Amino acid sequence: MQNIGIGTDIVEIKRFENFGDPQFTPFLTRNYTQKERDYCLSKDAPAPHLAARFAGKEAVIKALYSLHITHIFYPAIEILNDDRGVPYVRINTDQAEKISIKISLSHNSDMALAFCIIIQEI
Amino acid sequence: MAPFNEDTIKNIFCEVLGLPAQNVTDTLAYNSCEQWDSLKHLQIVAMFEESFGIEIDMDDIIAMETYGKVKEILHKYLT
Repeated sequence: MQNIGIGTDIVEIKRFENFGDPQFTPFLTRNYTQKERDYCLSKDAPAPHLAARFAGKEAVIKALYSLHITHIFYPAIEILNDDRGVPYVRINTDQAEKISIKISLSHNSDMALAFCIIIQEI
Repeated sequence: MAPFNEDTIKNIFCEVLGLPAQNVTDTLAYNSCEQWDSLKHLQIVAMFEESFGIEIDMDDIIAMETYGKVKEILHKYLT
């Protein structure tokens, strides 16, 4: 039997354009993994990628909460891209959950959004 | 670990939320302050951790719903 959780989020890209400011650095270090930071900061314009990942993490948290899974937080949610550029989610936690996560990220010039579906085996 | 310092806490709030100090009172709340959203909340938490040399638990991050509660939680870590 399965439960399905969904989550979505949208964020303004301009709020990530000050990623190089000292005020922003602790936030990036705490909430993005090294691989995520390496990926986003390798881009000519990192802000849309940072924003999309933040929206992605929020969407995952909302989907997890809808399944009453409340112990997984931003730093443990890693959103990477496979060889085809398709984003996928890895949960870095010792407490294993029988879940399968799918995520879709998108952005235009102003906004980044994410949609997440989680299937939980029960 | 740095000692508890309310001035540092208030300065971080003012800097991240862009609010004057007189607006940052114990009743300032996440749910009713337009500037205090999830992104700003995480920026504030990260700056607390950096400034005070602490690591704040997820449950406490979620429980930081008012400025007064933030001070109460940080006091627990810094004393």
